[in-house]
Amino acid sequence: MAILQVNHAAIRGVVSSIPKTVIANSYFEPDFSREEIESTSKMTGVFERRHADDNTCTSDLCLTAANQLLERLGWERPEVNLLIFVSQTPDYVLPATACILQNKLGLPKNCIAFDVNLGCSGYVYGLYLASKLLNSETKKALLLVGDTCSKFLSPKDRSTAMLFGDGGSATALEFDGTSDSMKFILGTDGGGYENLRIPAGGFRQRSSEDTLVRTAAVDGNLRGPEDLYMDGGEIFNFTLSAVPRLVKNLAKEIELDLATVDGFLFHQANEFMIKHIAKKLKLDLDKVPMTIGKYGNTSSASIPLTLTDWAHAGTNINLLMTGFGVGYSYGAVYCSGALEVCELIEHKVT
Amino acid sequence: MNEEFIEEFAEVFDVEPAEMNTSFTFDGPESWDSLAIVSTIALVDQYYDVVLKADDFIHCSNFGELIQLAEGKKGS
Repeated sequence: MAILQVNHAAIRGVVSSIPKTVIANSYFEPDFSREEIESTSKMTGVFERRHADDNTCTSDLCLTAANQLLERLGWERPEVNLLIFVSQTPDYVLPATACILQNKLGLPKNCIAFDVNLGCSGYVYGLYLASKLLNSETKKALLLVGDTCSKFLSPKDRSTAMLFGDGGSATALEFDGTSDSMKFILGTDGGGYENLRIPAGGFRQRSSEDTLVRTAAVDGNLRGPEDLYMDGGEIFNFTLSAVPRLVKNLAKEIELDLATVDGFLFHQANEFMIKHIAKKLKLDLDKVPMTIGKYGNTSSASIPLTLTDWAHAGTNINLLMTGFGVGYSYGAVYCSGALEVCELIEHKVT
Repeated sequence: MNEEFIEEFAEVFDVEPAEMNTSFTFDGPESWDSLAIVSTIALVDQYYDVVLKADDFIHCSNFGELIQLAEGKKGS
C-alpha cells in the first residue's frame, strides 16, 4: 500500500455537535426484552446514544459545529473557499448539501463545495481530500462530516437499532508550508458492499410502497429494504482482516514506532472490536479513547467526536486515526500538531 | 493447546475451563448467539492469527473440531 503524503496542510480546529436528546438502553424496552438489550449492549459497548429530532438533519449538526469553529478561530468567512460535506445522510437526493451549507454559512461564491458519500471511513477520506486541495489560492477549508443514522434504522432490528447514534462535526484546515506532513493510506474492497447497506431508496431499487414494508428477516429481525441492513459477522471479519494490517502497514511505511503515538482514534464501530484490535496491535488502551458507550456508532462522525471528547486545545499531539466500514472502505492517517480549537457541543434546536 | 485460549473460550460458553476439552459439545448453529460468534472469531484471531467465518465453525459438533479448523486454516 502506497503512502499518500500531504506536506502543506494543518488542522487548526475541530468542533463536534451532538443532538441534545439522550436515548438510554431502556428506550428500547417495548421492542426488546431486558435480556436482549443487555446482551446487545454487552457486545457493542453502547449504553447511550443521541438521536436527532425529525426536523434536524446532519447538515444542521454540522452547521452548528462550523459556526462555533469559525467564531472560536476568528476566521473571516470570505476567506474560506473550500467546503467538503462527507455524509450518507444528505438533506436531499440533490442538490449537494455542501451547496446549501456554503450559503447558510455565508461563505464566498468562489468557494469550492461538494459532497462525498462515505460513512465509517469518511473522516479520513475527507481530511485527505481537503488537505490535498489546499494551495496558495485556496488557503482555508471547512470539512463537515457527520451522519444521522437513527433516521434509517428499523426500531425492531436488534443488530442496528441500539448500535447507532447521530453526530456532526466541523474541522478547519489551513494551507501551511511549515506544518508537519500528514501521511495517509486509503483503500477499498467493494466486494463486501452488500453486508452494510440500505438496499432500496436509491436508483438501483427505487422507493415504492413495497420497499416501505418491514418483514421478518432470516435473522429474526424486522426490517424493510429502506432500512439499514448490517451483517455484523461479515463486518467483524472484514475489520479483523483489514484494520490491524492497515495500521501496521502505515507504521512500517513511515517508520513510526506505535509506542510514540499519543492517541489512536479508531472509528467507533463496536467496543469489543476496538479492544480486540488494540490488543492485537499491542496498544496501550489508555491511548485508545472510546466514546461508543455514550454516543453509539455515529458513522463518519465517530472519529472527530472521539477526538473532541478526548483531546485538549493547545496541546501538541500526534494521532493515528483509522476509519473502516461501509463500502467496504478504509483509511488511516498519521498527523501531528496542536489544535487551536477542540470542542464538543450540543446542538440547539432553533 | 494454549491454556489461556481454553480459559477465555470457556468464558464465552460460561463453563469452567476444566469442562472445555476437545469433546465439549456444541448444540448446533442455533446455540451460537452473536456475542459467542464474535468472541470466537476474536479469540481464534488472537491465538491462531487466522480469521474464521461464522459459517465455518457454527456447524462444528465439538471444541476439538473447532481447534482443527483453526489449525488447518493457519497451516493452509
